[in-house]
Amino acid sequence: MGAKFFKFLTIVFLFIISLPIILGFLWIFISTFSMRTFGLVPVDSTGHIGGLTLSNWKFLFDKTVWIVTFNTLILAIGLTAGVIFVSALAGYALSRMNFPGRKSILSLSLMLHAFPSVTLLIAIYFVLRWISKIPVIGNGLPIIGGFGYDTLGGVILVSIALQLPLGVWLMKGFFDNVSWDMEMAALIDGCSRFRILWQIILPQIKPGIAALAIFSFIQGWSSFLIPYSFMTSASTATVATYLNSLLSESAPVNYGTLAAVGLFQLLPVLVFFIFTQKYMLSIFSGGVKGSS
Amino acid sequence: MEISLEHLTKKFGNVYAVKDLNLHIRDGEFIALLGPSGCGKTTTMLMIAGIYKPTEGFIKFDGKVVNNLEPRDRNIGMVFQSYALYPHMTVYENITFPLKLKKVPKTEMERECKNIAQLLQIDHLLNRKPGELSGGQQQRVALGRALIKKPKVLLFDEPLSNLDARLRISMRRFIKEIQKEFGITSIYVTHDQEEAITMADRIAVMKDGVLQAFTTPDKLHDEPENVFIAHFIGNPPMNLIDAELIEEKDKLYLSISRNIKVEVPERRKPKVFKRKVKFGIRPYDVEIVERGKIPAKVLFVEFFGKEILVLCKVGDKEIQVLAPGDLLDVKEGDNIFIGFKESGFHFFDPDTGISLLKG
Repeated sequence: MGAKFFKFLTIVFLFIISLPIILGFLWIFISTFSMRTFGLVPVDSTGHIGGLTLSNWKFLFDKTVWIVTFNTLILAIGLTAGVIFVSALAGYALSRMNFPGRKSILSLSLMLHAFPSVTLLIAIYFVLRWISKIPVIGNGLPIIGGFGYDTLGGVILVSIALQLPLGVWLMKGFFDNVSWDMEMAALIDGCSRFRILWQIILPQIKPGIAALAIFSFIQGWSSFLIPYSFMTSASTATVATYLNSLLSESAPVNYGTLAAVGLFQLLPVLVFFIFTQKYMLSIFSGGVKGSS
Repeated sequence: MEISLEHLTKKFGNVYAVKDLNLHIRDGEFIALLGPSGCGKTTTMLMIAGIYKPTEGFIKFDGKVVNNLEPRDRNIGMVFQSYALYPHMTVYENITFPLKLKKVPKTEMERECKNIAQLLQIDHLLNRKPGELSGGQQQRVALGRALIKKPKVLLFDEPLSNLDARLRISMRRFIKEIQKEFGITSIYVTHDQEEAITMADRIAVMKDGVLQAFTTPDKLHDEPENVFIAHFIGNPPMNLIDAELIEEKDKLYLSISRNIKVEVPERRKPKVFKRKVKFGIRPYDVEIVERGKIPAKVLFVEFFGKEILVLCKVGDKEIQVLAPGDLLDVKEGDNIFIGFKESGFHFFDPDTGISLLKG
């Protein structure tokens, strides 16, 4: 009797707490289809209720937003691939091998993770400008433009660097959970160390890698501060910076269009997240359980 | 393949896991590395496998030093306690993995796998994944994977510890039969003395990284070199009692407690006389008799099936007696008499623990 009532109370409590968030989402959705809103009620330009319109979604026919989306995709994919590649190799070495400096690398990277990236912005600016001066990789690469200032490549590089502490620690944790016996058996069977990593160990932590990939992808997709600071041209904008430019472009702000673009950016992440929740939770449950 | 371990030592930091181990294993022999946890047996095995590098000393296969040889070039097969199968591969892929790495043609791989699988009675499981098999089946798959490359040496690291008791006994026999049939030199690590005694041709007993003895099971049982071996081998464990030896006229007497004196048989007299000794006698070498020299009071009776284990107090010492089960009227509090079988007398130095029966 008491248990059921308690459960009911919990649900009510959770509902009340989530209400602001739900209302926020609701507002965005309604805004995209109205000219203006008073609170949650759509109104037209004269203040009467109504004014539903699809004009806010006009931007979809404009080339700009698709270029911007493409840039964001490159950023997210580049970030994910880079983080996974480096974290997997580093995590494996840190988990399996004993070398001088191992403990310091682990603790230093943890410190870096706690560091607010905002404080590093100015220093990174100088580094990127310096890289821009290097021929070819500074500014002349296709798609990502290069690794210097005002290039997608530069932003990807910086984003990877800031995401690595988390990635390396996570991967190390996953590797720690894989038993040594399997590697010893593979060594005796005739595998080289690299082959063991690729064919034997990595398949054991697939859920973990998936979780890290999803996490990094979402991070890259919604990334704002780094692209905003280090990419000034319109051609290299990401959805986040494009959204920001809409804010400061004209006064008064067209909240309808703002909401529409915002929803446009949000939807893929939301859908993605709903389908991959299970994998995300595995990070918090402390790694991957072996199957034998 | 003959295996020689010469002055083999392994240190982890400042700790000696294995100290100055000398062992010579003959071709086709089945030897056991026996000892309690932490005695260095697994470390020794991993050095033979090439996964650990020795700190000092040499490992020789057929006379050739292999210290720096990679595990995959040593032509060995290993079976782990945890089976160490690859969970994302099928049984077939698990077993043929060593051959696949050697780039053996597919038809040959299939043929070899079929043969091994039939021998191990797992041919109906080839398409399953390890997670879908029972412990015993997984262990046989692991054995198949070790055997398929026709290794010169087989290493077993407590392979049966994760199996239930009944299965353990049948797998023991199975492994021994396979080893005999293929004649592969085998090294079997275990902490279970019963396993070692039933399976091995010779047993190397280790304690704290040091070899205690390397000989046949019956010699270990009947003529233990020291107290550790005497207590470790044999179930129930040997009774070890602080006692005194008294010389009277021509005869030697053993005094277990005040007023309790027993004559020591001629052929079991220690070679070195010491007044204070550690007297050892196995519970099955002690008998309950109608009338005898040694009075005892029953403290506890354990039922063992066709036998009973009686814990009794003799003077101020405690002795365990393994008696035939039809003496079921023995119970706590009874006063009985016990006698020692002639062949059961063992004497050890009370300080060093070394047997006094040898020269």
